[in-house]
Amino acid sequence: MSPKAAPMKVVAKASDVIDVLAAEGALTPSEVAARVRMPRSSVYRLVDGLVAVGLVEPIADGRLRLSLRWLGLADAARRGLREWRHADEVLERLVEQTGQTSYLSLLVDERAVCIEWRRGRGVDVLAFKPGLSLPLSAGAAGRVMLAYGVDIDAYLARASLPRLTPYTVTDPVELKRQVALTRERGYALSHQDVSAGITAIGVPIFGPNRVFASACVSIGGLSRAFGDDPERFAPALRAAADQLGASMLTD
Amino acid sequence: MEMVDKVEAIVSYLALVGESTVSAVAQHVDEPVSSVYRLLSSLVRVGWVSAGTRRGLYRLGLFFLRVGVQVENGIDIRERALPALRRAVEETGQTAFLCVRHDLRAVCIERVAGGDVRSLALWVGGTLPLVIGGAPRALLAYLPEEEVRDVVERSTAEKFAEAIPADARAIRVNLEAVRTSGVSVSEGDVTPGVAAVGAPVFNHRGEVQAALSVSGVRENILGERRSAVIESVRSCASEASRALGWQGEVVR
Repeated sequence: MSPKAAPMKVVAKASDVIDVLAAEGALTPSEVAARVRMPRSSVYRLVDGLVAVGLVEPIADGRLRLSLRWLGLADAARRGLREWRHADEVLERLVEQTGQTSYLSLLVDERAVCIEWRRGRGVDVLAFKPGLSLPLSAGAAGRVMLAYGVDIDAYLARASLPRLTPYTVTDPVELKRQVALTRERGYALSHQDVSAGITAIGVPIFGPNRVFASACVSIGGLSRAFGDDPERFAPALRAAADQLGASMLTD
Repeated sequence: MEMVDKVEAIVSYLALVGESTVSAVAQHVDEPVSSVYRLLSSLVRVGWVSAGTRRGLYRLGLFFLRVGVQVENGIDIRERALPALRRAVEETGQTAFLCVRHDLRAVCIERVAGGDVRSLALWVGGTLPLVIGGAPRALLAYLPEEEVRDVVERSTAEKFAEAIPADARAIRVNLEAVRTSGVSVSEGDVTPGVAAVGAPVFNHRGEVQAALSVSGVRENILGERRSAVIESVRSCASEASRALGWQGEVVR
């Protein structure tokens, strides 16, 4: 199977339509057509097809949005990641031990993608929004990926370093320094470089044969809860990483 | 559109079985292996499908994880619960509320007026301690066990503007009763002469996300129409839950 061959046009366009609705919430059919740059008649036909199979739904004011089916499909996709089938237990235990929201992130297309999380104690529905995916230059998981699984020079040659907060690293030299520090300490610290007032600490996960699994387990929460010594959480994180690594299926 | 039907069939099948070979997929969607192979290649290219845990196996890709989180983050609880709130007002003639948790308190994020609202304390943006009232206690009762313990302990130690019960154990016994009946019934513990009935609203994972309640003068809530009011709140809260993707299972 050649993943480099261009996808079939309908698949590519359907994916674009879903992407646009996921990003913007609800759009009229003509807004969708404008964003995916397809003739209106083709978009309407495609959208009708997506509505007919329950992936998109029309709402009262004539706009379209993604159906709740996508929630179940995300859960199914998560279940399909069988090598991480124990993630929820391990993350739950980490929450119990640290009180902080805990995350499992994977390296996907040079971004850190959070695939499982457990809410920390006392974290409200209103405040809690797990990160979707982040550039490798921001957040604890990204620096773990850079320290253990990515050629930093090749990455810096390709990637731009976006600024998410005033603390986000945008200087390649500084990023390299932080990556080296991560490798030295065995953990990555993120202090307000993704969201104001939020600190995170993450460690790498090694699978069978001590190979880096392109994965990171981390905890994150209010900076004041982490105080002066966030590294006090490192042992609990290491234990969680060991459990996750040990339970991975071998190929 | 035929192609979309085929894609959806493949996606549904992989969602069901976790991972599969090309030929098993082809058999299930009743298409030739070669065209399924071609379709899977395209789906891999856009991240909808990825390689499975062993060679020759395919499974749903990370695209679905990303979109799932975006959809979940985009859900406006107020908007989704509004039809249920309106029905509660219609059926009971009383004012309906939707509350979410904020630390030790419940925040009212929506309110649909019915009947006589003069005596009702809670407005949108207003809050009550989680340990009293209709909606707040319905919310609290379905939080995970440790969180309930934590909230009750901290609440009894806290100095609230409102009067709350002093006995932590009594509060927890009360919450147990809420879980048994599925509703919380509040009588005069917020405002004398005012009663409320609340029920939990769950998200698609079965976790409590909010609570729906109706409130009014005691006679209108707990008088002759008591069981009808309770039933309406239960039913409307379930409707609000389904509007969030709830499938029926409760997880604490």
